[in-house]
Amino acid sequence: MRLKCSQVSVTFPSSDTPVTALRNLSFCNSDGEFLSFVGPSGCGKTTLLRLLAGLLAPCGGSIERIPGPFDRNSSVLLVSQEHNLFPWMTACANVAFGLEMQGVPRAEREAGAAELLARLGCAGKERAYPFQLSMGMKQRVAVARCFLSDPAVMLMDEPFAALDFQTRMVLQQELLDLWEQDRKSVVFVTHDVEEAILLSDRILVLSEGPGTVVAEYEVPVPRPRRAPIEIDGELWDLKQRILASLSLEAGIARFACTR
Amino acid sequence: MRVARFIGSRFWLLAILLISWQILAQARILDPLFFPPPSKVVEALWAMLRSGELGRQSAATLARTGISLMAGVIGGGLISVLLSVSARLRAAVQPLVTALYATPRLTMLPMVMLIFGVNEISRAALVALSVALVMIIQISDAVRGVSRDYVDLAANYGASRAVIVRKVYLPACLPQLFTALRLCTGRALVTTISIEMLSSNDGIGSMIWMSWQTFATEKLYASVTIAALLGLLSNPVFHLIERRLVPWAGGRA
Repeated sequence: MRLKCSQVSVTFPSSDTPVTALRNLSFCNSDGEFLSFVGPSGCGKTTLLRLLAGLLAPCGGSIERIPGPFDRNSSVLLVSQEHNLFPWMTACANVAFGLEMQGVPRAEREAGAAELLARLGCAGKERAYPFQLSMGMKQRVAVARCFLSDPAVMLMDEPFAALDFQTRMVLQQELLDLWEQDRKSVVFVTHDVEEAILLSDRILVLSEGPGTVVAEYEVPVPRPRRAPIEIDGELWDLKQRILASLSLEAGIARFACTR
Repeated sequence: MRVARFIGSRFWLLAILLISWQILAQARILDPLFFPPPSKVVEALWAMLRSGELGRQSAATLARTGISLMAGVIGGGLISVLLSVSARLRAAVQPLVTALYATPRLTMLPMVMLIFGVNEISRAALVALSVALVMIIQISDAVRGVSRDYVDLAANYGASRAVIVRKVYLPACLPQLFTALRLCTGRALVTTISIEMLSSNDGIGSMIWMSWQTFATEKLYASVTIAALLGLLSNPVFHLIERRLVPWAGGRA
């Protein structure tokens, strides 16, 4: 599925000054593309994903969902940074939640969930409650739930930001492996430029709030990819250009603030 | 061994107090008329148990507590559900609940008796009211405390409003529901015994008041001990049920 945002704006009413999170943001992804947004904190990344997930309505502009030829359903599912597992459900029930909502019988959905958990190295954790899982395990379970539900678009809000370096690398590779098997449209949000380069086909740079797209880069790395990738030569240039557009943006914003 | 250590860790202070009391009373440093030694209190307890008085009075108190507790929990629970659904109702009921909650329960006894008469219905109604208030405050608090993130998560996966209530709100409120039940039980017992002291011919409260009026201090201490024991015993029962029904709350502080 493709998501087409045209001139989208979001303003949150607030007691003193209303906060504009996004201003005139436009983009469109293509079917089966891994698209990443990078931006400084407070650039409205989370707001953007909540919009795309349908949890928030834009104040201006429009968001279109254009179904692709291979979509089995029309759901757009979000993996958020935290609080993304129900504490009262076991790991297995959490992974199976999407299928449960689709009306899949219990035995079938739990078998699917257990299999996916095993592939992600969480075998034996099916009956564990979230409070018994490490951060890495929790994020695996959240990603697994999203994959098992087979959405038309996956939205990911800095899913690995809270993890330590090694765990993050392992989970990035697991995400690459899962995704490269059955390429779905992904919109991924991160503040980590190298993570964006490793995972994405295309990277959009957001400006500091109110967020809007200020630059666009293709990532010329063939798939399947292996983490970590060497950031040298062409990729080093790419990273510098992305960082430049990020800091240029931050600089402009600071300049605007001090005036 | 583990049981012995558990009891030892919990009751050593109580044991020291009781033993010193016994010694001081026997040495006549404390006036045994006002402070009968624990051994005499135990004797009084034993006599009350043998005569059947203890059983009869405890049963009267427990029956009152139990019935009004159930009425209050169910009534308060239903009202909380209504309040969670309707914001308009909530806004109107909230000040009422807050005012009633802040009013000492027993001051309302005369008014309740004006309405229902001097009978069991009045006593039960007042206890049920005070239980219902605790329920309403606790449950409303629990519902308000349910994280928006979980509601969004379920909605994102296509859950209907009814499913969100069943799969998110209900389990999320369960731990606090148990806290509410525990508080309600304590509240029901306290209110029942207080009412019995003021207006009843039976029950532990009445027994305490009668002992005081007749200056039967040994019986007075024995009755208060029973009141304390009832309150003490109600707590672990709920803890046990809670651990069974809410295994996932182990990570909660």
